[in-house]
Amino acid sequence: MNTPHDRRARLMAWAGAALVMAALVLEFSQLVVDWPFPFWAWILTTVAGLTLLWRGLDQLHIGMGARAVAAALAFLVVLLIVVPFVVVVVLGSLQRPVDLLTGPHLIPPQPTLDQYFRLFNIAYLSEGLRNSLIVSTTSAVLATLLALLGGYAIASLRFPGRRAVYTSVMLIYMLPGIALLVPLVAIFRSLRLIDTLPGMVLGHIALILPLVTWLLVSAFEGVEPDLEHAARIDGAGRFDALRRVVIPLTVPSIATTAVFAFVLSWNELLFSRVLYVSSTPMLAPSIVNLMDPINRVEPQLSAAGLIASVPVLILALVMQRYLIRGIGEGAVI
Amino acid sequence: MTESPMVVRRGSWLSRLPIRRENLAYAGIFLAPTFLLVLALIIYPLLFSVSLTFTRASTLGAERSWVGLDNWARLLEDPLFRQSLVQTVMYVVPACILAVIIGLGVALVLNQDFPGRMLVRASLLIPWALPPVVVAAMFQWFLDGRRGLLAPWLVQLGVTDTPVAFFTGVPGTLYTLVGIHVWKTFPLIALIFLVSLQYLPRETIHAAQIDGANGWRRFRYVTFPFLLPTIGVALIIQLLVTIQLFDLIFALTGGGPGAYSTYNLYFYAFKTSFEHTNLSYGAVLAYVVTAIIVIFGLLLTRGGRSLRLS
Repeated sequence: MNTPHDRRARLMAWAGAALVMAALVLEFSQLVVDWPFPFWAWILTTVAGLTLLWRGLDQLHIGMGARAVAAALAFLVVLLIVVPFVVVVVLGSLQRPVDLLTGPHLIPPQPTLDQYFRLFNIAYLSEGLRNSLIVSTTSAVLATLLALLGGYAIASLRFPGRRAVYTSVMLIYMLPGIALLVPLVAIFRSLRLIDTLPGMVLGHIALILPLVTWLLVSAFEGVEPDLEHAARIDGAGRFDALRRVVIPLTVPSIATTAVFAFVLSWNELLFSRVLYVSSTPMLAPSIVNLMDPINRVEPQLSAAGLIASVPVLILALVMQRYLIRGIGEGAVI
Repeated sequence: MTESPMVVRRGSWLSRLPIRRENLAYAGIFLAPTFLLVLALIIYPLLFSVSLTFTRASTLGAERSWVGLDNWARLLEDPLFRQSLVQTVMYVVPACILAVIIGLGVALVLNQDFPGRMLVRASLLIPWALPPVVVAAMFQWFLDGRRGLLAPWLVQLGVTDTPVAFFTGVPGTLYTLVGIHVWKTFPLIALIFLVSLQYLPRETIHAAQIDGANGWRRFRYVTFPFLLPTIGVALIIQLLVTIQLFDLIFALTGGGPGAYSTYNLYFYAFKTSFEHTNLSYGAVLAYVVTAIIVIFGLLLTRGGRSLRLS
């Protein structure tokens, strides 16, 4: 426990950690006070400190060094992800436009929720929020319901032509949006569907239905066929088997799929922009409107951005376990 | 000879059909709504757009005239097409390399067992879930030359001597977009690697450890070869995503600065179809994008299949 070897190792680890912390403080205190501490010096000191820490800890306990360094690096990754969002979108939305004149601020000098109230005066924005909620929810729910039937048929019914259907779902899923949108606009125009909510929903369904079907096929393929056969021998028809056996077993996958569909539709810009002329603004293109270089008010834009992010961030948080697995398996691009 | 035991099949009249017919009937019923929608919203439009490419159609008028292969021939002598194609490559190559290197690094870090790793893993979902337009607006302010935070920070931290102008250079602006795009997409790549790392054979790693292989050699000779197929999959996925990069270009640069310096093929197809209202040539460009995507997508399904088998 207290051999000289252990003591040396512990000293090394502590020295490493201290070096990393000192360099971190020195480097980032420059945002407040001006030192002559060059960037390369920070990088070198940090690398040296992490090496010491790694070596020291590894001599105490194999594998501990790697874990400590991983934790430090993971902290950097979190900073990389969170800092732009928190500083610009969250804190930025609390600034007053006049604060922009006194230079960039990390912390708003006089935080205010003013910009959020002003957003309600922008008609296309509140309309866009409403339309996006309607369109994304409707198309996610409709697409998931359709895909429950279609995905089940592809996954568990052995019918002639099944392979062809399977392959075409995959091919259609890969199609780029623009390839669909160009003819859809021509067709929608002749059907007078452009600039209407039903048209918008149809456009979004065209976009998400292949993905949703594909995801549910994969989910249903995981259901043990014996369970379904047992139900069928007990006299359940295909509808009953789907409703009473397959769906209850795959509720998490179905919910994840619906969330994927909603996020995809909510974040979608191209279709929402092009299928809109004057009466059905969606949220994403409305935010682009706010980005117009001449009339841009950055804090207002951040406030709108935060509002647009809240639904998807909440869904991501609630469903994180399933989403991480779904994304990791490469099912969703 | 006794009669073979027969399963009494009850249920609706469909269930009394022979099993193959029954399956076909049910498949027909279950697939009908999806099939009709796909037919109306995807297959018919795609066929319709073939006919578009042989005519002259604008988004404004409904009148179309037959022009044969003119729209396709235009590709060959269109300098902007060539430029967009080159710039598509300029987006794709660094975006793929950066996202795969960063994603792999992050996955290796998160594969270690330390307190709070679940929290870090969950934070990866933030860039993935954020609407691209919000990411665009966020970086527009963050990277702005006068009002942004990053450029003065970089000066204060001693990284650069003068504030960086992120949105004025050619081709610098394109690489700024690549950077933002990588910020948004590296988590997806990291999660792909993370799932794949779970299947890394622990015994092999332990054996290498006992044989005295250090961390780098364990990575080089065990982990890396194991991950190679996944690296291929990640590269192609990132390639497919980057070819379809549109939102950032539309929201941040509109194709500029200068002469179309941040156009890619996808954006060019959009501009042609909906701002220059030439649906016919736009459809041709969209087909070029589709062809590229389908080629690499087929590669991916091959690779994906071999990945799943391994």
